[in-house]
Amino acid sequence: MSLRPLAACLAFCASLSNAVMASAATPPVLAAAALQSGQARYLLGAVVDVRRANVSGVTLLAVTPGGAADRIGLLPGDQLLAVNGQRLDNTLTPSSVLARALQQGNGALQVEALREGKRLVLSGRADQETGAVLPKGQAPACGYVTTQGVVPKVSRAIHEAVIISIDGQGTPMQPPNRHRLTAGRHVLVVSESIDDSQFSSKQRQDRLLVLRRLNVRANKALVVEVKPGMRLRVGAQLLRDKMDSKSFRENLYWEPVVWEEVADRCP
Amino acid sequence: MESDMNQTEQRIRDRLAALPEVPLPEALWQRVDARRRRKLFQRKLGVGAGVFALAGVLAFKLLLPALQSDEVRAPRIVAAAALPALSDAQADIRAIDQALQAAYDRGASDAEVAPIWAARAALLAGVQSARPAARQDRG
Repeated sequence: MSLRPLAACLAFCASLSNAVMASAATPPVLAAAALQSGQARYLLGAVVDVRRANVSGVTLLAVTPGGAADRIGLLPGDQLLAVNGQRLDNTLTPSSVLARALQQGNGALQVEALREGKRLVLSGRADQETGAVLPKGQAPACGYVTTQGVVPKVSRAIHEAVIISIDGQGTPMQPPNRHRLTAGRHVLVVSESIDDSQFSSKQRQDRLLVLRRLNVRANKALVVEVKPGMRLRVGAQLLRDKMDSKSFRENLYWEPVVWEEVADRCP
Repeated sequence: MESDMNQTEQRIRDRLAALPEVPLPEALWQRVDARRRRKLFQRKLGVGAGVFALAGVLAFKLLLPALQSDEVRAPRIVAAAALPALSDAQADIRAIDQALQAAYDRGASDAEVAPIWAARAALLAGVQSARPAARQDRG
């Protein structure tokens, strides 16, 4: 039996599963979190698993180095019980409660946490993000990312890719020609869509196995800097020196890259 | 046969018990005692020197920041703040953490966020390995 139809089906299923998972809660406009002119937003500077809350609060998964949580002494594994007086241990919507609590503090930050059974109260200042002050009616500077267009397969081993999510938000199932983003750093999760013809029969089999085993975990994240009025072209680079069985098993045979940056006026 | 052997053994024991006890020379006990005292003194000296050295090292470590002048310490802080590569990586980690939080806010699965965590781990490893190198450059 030829592996090619099976691999194609698997790649299609993986991309469909990617799209369904990501689009389940996709907001209508990407980068909706962009701040209005002069608007301030307060952040904890940490990653909190707000998907599940219980009587022990929500779990702090990571602390951003130098961020507010790091400065006040929170550690990964701490259970957050309350932030600025808003309880996180008896709510069904910890995500919105946390966001509201941070904004209501107006920059002040007081956290009640549980660490190894001990109750702690830590306080300090929240991280602040402020939107650039712009003349009335003027939108923040923006740029684009895209995977569309002809990729330099032969000269640079760049192949097609699909952007699955941007800044943690899923992209639409029908990808647009380009994604408009505010200028600055963004995190893309990319899935490779390299044509089967690039692989030998053995390599196709190895790739099929890794895609089947990892599914959406086979995607890779890429941090990009979007400059105002520029378009970044993203692709999947096939790493010719990492096409042995071991590299396929470890999903090392490709990496997402920005392979071109071109001017593209952004309103 | 066995009783003969027992009798012989008993006779030997009696003869040995009857032998006169030879007095030990007086100087022997003095030599043994002096040697014991010397060993004890050497052991105490060794322990004392060890404790003294340990206390010295601890005191040096504790007092070093206070003994250093501000002029000596200032350039280290300035150099730490001006590490462009490090701050770039930290900005990337910050962007990644915000993306992770957005994903958790919308209820993303563990599999969906796994690639972002992998990128974070790689960046963090880079920052941590860059730190000692940066210190070495400054030192």
